[in-house]
Amino acid sequence: MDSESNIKWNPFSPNYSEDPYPHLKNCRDNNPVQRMSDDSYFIFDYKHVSKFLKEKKFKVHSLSEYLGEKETYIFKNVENGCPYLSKATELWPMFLNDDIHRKIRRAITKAFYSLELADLLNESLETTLGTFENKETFNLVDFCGIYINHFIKKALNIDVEEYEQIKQYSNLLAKSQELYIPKQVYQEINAEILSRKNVFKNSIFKDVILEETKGLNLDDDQLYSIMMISFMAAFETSKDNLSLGLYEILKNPELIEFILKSDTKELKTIIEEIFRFSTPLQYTIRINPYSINVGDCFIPENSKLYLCIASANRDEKIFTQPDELIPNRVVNPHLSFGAGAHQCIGATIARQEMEISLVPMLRFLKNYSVTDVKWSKQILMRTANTITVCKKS
Amino acid sequence: MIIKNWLLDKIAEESGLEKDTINCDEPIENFELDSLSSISIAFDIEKEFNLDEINPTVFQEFNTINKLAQWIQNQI
Ligand code: HEM
Repeated sequence: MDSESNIKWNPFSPNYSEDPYPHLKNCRDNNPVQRMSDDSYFIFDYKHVSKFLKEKKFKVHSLSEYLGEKETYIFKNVENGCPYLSKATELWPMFLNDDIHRKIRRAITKAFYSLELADLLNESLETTLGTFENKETFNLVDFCGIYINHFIKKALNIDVEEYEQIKQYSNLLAKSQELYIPKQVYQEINAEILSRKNVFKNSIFKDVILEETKGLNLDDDQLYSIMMISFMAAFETSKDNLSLGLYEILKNPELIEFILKSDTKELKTIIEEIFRFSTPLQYTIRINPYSINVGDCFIPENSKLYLCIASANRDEKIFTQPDELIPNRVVNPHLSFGAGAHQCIGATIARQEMEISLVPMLRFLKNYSVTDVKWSKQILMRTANTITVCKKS
Repeated sequence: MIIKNWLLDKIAEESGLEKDTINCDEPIENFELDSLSSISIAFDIEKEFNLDEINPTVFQEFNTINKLAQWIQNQI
C-alpha cells in the first residue's frame, strides 16, 4: 500500500457532490488506507470496511462529548446562547457503546416494532399520490419525503403541520453529525432543536421508550434526545434512499418496465440493489482500542477510522459492474445498513417502505422525466436538495 | 486592503490574539486555530464576499493573511 500516493481523499474535489463515486474509486484503487492531517484514517476497500464494522471490540466515538468540548467556542459572543447540542445528542445510539448502547438500542427497536406499519405506509402512499396528482412539475425529493414523513409523523405524533418545517428540522439534526460544519451552522442547529423541544406529543412509541428505559430514570432532555434520533434516523435515510433510487430508475425506461412487471421475489432483489446503489449513509466512524495493520499501514490504537461504506459498496472485488444498477443482481452483500453492533435497526422497515411504494410510485412517475438536480454538499449522508421532474408532453 | 483588514479582524477574534501582534506574512497555522475555527472562518468568508463553497485546502495553499487576502481578491 502506497502511503505516499498523491491520491488524497478530498470531498471538495470537483463534482464530488454531483457524483462522489469516481473520486472514491480513485482512492480505493490507488490509496485505500489514508492517514489525514488530523491523524484520522480513511478506509475505502470492502474487505476492511466490512471487517471493522463487525469487529466486536471496536468502539464508536462520542458526538455528544465532541460537541460538549466545542460548545464554549461555538457560543462565544452569542447573546442568550443556551448550549444544548451536547445534551441533545447524548443518547443517540450510533454514538454510544456497551451497556447504555444496548439498552437504548433495544428500546428504540421495540418502539418501532410496536407500530402497525403496513397500514400506516399504505395510507401514506395514497396521500402522497393524491398530493401530486395532476402536477405538471414537482420536486421528487419532496414526493419521497412526504411519503416517509406522513407515516413517521403519525407514529411519533409530531406536532408540526408544515412539511417544509419538518424537512428543515430533520436536515439540521442530520447536519449535527456531518463533517466540516462551521459554528454558525451549529448555532442554527442549536436554536432549532431548542425551539422544538415539545414537538413529540404523547404516543404509543414514546410510552414504549419510557417503559423500556424505566431503570435508567431518563429526564425530559434525554427522552427528547431519543425521540429526535428516532425521527431523524428514520426520515432522512429513507427519504434519501427512495429519491436517489427513483432518480436513477427514471433515467432508464427499460428498468422502469422491468420493475413494473416484477414479481414479489424480483422486487425484493431490486430493492436490495437500490440500497446498495444509493448508500444514503456514506461513511461511519469507529475507534480501534488496539493498534492494527491494514495492508502496509500501521494504525495506532484509539485512532478515528472513517469507514467509507459508499466506496465498499462499489468495490469491484465484490460486485461485478459496481457502477451499474443491476435489477437482478444475485450476490449482493451490501453494507448500506452497516453491520455488527450498530447495524441499522430500521432495515426491515426501510424494506417495507420500498416494497409498498416502489411499483405504485413508478406507475405514477413513468409519465415524468427528470429535468434538473441540485445536490446537497453533505458528505456523510448523500442527499439531493431538489430533483425536478416534469410531465412528458 | 479592506479584505486584509477584515481577515485580520476575523483571525484576531477567532484566535484571541491582539490585532497588532499578528504578522500578515506568518503562517496562519501558527495562530493555533483548530479545524472548527478554520471552517467557521471559511464560512464567514463565503458569506462576506459572496463566494461559492471554499475548499478548506485553500488555507494550506494560501497560508498567510496576505496570501489569503490576495486569493479572495482574485475570486470576487
Ligand atoms: C434506507 C434507509 C436506511 C438506511 C440506508 C440506514 C442506514 C443505517 C446505517 C448504515 C446504520 C449504522 C450506522 C453505524 O454503523 O454507525 C444505521 C443505524 C441506525 N438506523 Fe438506519 N438506515 C435506514 C433506515 C432506518 C429507519 C427506517 C430507521 C428507523 C425505523 C433507522 C434507525 C436506525 C437507528 C436507530 C440506528 C442506530 C443503531 C445503533 O447505533 O445501534 N434507520 N442506519
